[in-house]
Amino acid sequence: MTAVPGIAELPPDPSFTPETYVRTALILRSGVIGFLVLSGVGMVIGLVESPGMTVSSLIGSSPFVNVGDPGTFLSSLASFQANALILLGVFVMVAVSVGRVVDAMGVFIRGRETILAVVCGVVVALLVFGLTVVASIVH
Amino acid sequence: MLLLVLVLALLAVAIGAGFLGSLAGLGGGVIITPVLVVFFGIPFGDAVGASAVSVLATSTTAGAAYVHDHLTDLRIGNFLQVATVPGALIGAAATVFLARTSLVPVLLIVLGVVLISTVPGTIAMRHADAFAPIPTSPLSKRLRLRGAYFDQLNQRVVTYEGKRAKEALGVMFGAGLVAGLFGIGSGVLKVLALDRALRLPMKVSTATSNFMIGVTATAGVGVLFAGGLIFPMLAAPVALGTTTGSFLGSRLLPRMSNRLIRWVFVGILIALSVEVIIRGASSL
Repeated sequence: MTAVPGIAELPPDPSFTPETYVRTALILRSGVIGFLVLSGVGMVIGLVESPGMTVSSLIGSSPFVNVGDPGTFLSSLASFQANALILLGVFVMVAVSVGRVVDAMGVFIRGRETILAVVCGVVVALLVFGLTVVASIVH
Repeated sequence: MLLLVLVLALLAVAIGAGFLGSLAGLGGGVIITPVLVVFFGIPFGDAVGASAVSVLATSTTAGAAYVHDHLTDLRIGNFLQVATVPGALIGAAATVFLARTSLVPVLLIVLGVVLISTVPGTIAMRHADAFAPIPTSPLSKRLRLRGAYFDQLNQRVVTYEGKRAKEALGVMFGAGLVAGLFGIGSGVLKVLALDRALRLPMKVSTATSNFMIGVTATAGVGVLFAGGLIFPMLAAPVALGTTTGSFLGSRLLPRMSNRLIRWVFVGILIALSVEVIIRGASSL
């Protein structure tokens, strides 16, 4: 990663050092690359597997048929099914988003900024709540 | 329509939306939901799901670049997410339930009104640095919502201080709600909160908004997926297209005048909004 001009001239932040910025950018980039590769490959496989599929049949089918539960999802991944690969890409980005908030919480804890650490903890709790409780309600 | 034709068409449209949106400073996600509904006949809920995934991908891509360049205020971004995430959870859950009812036409009308209401803010974004000074709130001081960035154009360090933290939290909750409901980034609302409530410099508010959109979209995507509104073969080409378009736009941005493009994008936004409102009203 190239150095950014002018960074050395910035006043120091008690928690967010230049290394933190570099690490956060790396976390985000890894998520994007993972998503692009997985969804790109999944999309091509999907088109090759079902060249005659129509839009109405796609929308009419349930996305849960192939990847509804963890066991089916893993076996779908193992057999390189399009939907499973694309969804894995989405999950990678979701994990990256949760991970960067966890990382920020660690930064605030190390900087002894209690309120902001708690705020990040609440955000992580809300995301987990959404991905589990709210998700199970709307499912 | 064959899936292959749909995927190729979606890729082309999404690249265009991402490219124009990036040059206009709005992000392409704002027009994806209405485009999918109006031009591709995709059901409203499924369009929201695909758009939410594309917003997540695009904002993460742009967010990485802004964080690397130290334009993002990680302190303020992480703080305000506590308001956008619950908003997005409520909005996405509402979409899952309402998409199964006869209230979809009402949602379309509301979407059109929301999109049109972002236009004045979009146009005013150019004047965002010209607000009168206001005092810093005690909460902002306590959380040390201040920072600095290096302005490459003027070759100097610019310092700033977040002013009204509580007001910003309120606007951010609304932005999260709208983002969850319609699968859009709500970047305009977020930037306005960062500009007007916190009085951050334009570049910092744009970068910080992008950073927050990713986490906000994550909250929405999880709920929309569980609600059966994310079809992978629909979401993938849209997300890949907008991400590619945004990347190309960001590369060209320094060499282009984005004034005309912003007006073109605003024109497209208004036309789509009117079309969505008409569709909703005629289905009531």
